[in-house]
Amino acid sequence: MLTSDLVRVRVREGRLKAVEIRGATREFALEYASRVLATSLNHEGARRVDYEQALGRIAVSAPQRKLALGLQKMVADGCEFSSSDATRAVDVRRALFETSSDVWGMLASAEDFDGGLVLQRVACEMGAPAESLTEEMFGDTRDAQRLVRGCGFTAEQILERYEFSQVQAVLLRAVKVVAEVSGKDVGAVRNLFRTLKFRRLLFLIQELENGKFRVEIEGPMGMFTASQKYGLELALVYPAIAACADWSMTAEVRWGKDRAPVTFEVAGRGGRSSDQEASVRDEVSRLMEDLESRLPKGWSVGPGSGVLNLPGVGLCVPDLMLVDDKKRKVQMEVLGYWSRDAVWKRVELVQAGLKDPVLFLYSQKLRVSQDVLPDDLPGALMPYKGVISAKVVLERAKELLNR
Amino acid sequence: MVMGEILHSLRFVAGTLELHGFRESQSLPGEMAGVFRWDGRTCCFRAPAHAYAAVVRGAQEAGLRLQDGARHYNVLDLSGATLMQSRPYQREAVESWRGNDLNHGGRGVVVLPTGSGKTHVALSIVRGVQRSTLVVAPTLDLVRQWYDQIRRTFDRPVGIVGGGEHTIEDLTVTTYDSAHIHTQNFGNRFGLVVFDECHHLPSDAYAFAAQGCLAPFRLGLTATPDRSDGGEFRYEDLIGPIVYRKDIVELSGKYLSDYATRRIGVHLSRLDREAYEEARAVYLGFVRRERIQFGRPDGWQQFIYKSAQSDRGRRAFEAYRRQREIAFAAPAKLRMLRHLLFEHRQDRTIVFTQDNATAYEISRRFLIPIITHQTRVRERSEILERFRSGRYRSLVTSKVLNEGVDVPEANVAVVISGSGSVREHVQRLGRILRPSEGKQAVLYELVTVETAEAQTSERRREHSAYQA
Repeated sequence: MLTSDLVRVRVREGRLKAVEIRGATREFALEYASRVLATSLNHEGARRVDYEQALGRIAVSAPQRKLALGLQKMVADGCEFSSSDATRAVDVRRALFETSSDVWGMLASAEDFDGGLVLQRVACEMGAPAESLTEEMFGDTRDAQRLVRGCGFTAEQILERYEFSQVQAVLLRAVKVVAEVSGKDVGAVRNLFRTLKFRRLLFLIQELENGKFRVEIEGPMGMFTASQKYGLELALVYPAIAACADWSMTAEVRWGKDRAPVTFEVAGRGGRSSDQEASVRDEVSRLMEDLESRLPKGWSVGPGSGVLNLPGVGLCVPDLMLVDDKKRKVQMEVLGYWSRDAVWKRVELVQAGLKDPVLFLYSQKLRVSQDVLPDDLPGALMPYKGVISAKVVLERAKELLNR
Repeated sequence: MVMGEILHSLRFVAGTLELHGFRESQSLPGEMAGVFRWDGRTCCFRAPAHAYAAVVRGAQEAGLRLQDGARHYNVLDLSGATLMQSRPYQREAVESWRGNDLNHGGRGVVVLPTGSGKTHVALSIVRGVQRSTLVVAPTLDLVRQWYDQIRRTFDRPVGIVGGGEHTIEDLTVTTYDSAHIHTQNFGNRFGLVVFDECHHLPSDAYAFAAQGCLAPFRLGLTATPDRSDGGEFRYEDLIGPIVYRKDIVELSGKYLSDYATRRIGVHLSRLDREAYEEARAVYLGFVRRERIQFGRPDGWQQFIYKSAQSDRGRRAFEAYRRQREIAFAAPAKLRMLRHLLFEHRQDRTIVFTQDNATAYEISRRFLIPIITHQTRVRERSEILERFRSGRYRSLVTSKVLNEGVDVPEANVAVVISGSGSVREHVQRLGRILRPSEGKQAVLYELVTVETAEAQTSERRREHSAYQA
């Protein structure tokens, strides 16, 4: 991630905007990134200090310096550095300092101290050349790290990472984020809420008319103080927001030395989801196809709509929705086989007063009995073995609608 | 609402208190109304954790029976603690802290010079309060030091959070960094929180360590409460008011070592002087051309901003760094250091620098142990232990030993370079003031004459400790 001192932004009338990289600047950035990447590959095996000195020799004009440093950071993040043996360095230092301490105690005049002689003496004792001791003495410091592997990305990838990282670096100074995300990619939306929960952030959801959700996100303490304590958490939520199908985000940021309040806006189209979600998604599309072929007359099936939310208890994001011939709806969430805890959370949700008819489908391997939820509640559990049976799903849906 | 029945519950959640059992439309009784706000995200009332004492008091006054699921700290029996007898001013400090605002529990900041036994004051308070206690210190060295002291005093297991360790006990020590991150998890486990070197706390980055903790008892310790950003006004809210204060000059001689401060001017060689003047001319030329006024609060920011806008600005910035390096690490300073190390070869000398590069240069040249932020905890402990025992008689550091580290044997400090901060300079002096039999401490400040460093030195000496 970029640090905020490397971010290229402009603040005008209370709005903070990341400076776009286009035209001649983009050409410079691509060329510069290529040179830094090549330098990293050419310096495999070199000390970090030598690699960084080589970067310093690539000419950069003052106005491009910050961009160049940011690109260097992105390349460095893609490199692998390693330290030499820290134990050896500590042993060398201890031997040198002990001997030197004895020597200082016996001196007759200040001019008599000769570091070279101390080095020679210790080198003899350790059976190593004096020159190597000089190098080993601080061989465990950052400067002495070795570049084990250069960065394998392309210049375009570095630029893409830089732009992504720039948003995150701004969010490090955020106190609150309001995101609007499309509900089209259910997996991405679910992943967003899971990330929010994992990061212990709180949120308010509002369903908008255009099929999007408006999510206000901040830390628990956010309602008392405009604290940047949650900046890191908000920055780490950004990938989950950017993975939603269609999204925009407005962040309340405290910027500059005086932490002036400014607004930061960014938008995009994503579509990336996790492997875990992908495996569930396959099951969902298969189920939808099976259901379509078995639907009674007047029934329909489609992607789930909305987020079923009980403030203070939790939420779920349905995958599919069945509509019967009387326009009554049953939502369905496919939980798959990966989290028993997730099933229990849904049980709590239904018990706490979720009003919508909803069917939770999960693998029998999770060992949760469907009898956990009594028949008089609008939610029901449906464990399955192997493949989800569309026939059983339809039966359970009818049963739910008739409760 | 039926008073007297348990219908309401209090929970600690991520550094805040959640009050369940009230509806949004209901008004909260007494003092609770002032601290709680309705949180629509979770459908309950919420308050910052540090309002806990007020919440409990408010509930009691209103006759509200509150199921308190927030508090998870213990009452301890610490009567067997082994503590040395307090000095008169230490007793006064404890009394002042205890006497402050009795109804609201002990809260407040004690200001005592380095070496005067602030830790003893804290341990006396821990023994008196008898509640699970968290001590927050700025560095891992200090965490280790507190750990040893608490173990010795109370003979109980002591937890550490930070530096790769995460064990929580009724008596636990942590760093400000770790407290900032983890208070949201363990902020309900302690009834007393001690903020060592509490001048760090009012920063935006660390304040949460106090706000997110529900401890009703709070103690701040510092030798230098003033902050350059004026943040000291936040002590009142985060810890409590300043309840006791004594200065170096009030205690030196009897409770602190006698000390002397000597400023030694060194001269640049002809070549260095030329290089210095040349760099300074480039730097000042740019400052004049751009009409940057360093007298203004944003003067430095202006310089940074403008120097990044052009190649000329970049050269000015490099020139600024160059002239500073020449003044800070003049060869004449290193020659003088050689003489001081020799003169004090039987003493315990700490050499302070402004930057790591100079510290490493000194360590390489004179082969004396070095402690920087890169030095791992185990090696730091070993170096400090050997320094205490006399195996090492000198060590060099940049800033990491500025604060708190207890080396009573240290009696000589050599400041090769530093910032203009009064606090830093007083803290550095404090390293050599811990009293011991017949000790006479001396602090040398090496200043390159006829450079900007002379003015920096004047600024940092604006404290009674340097005017005595």
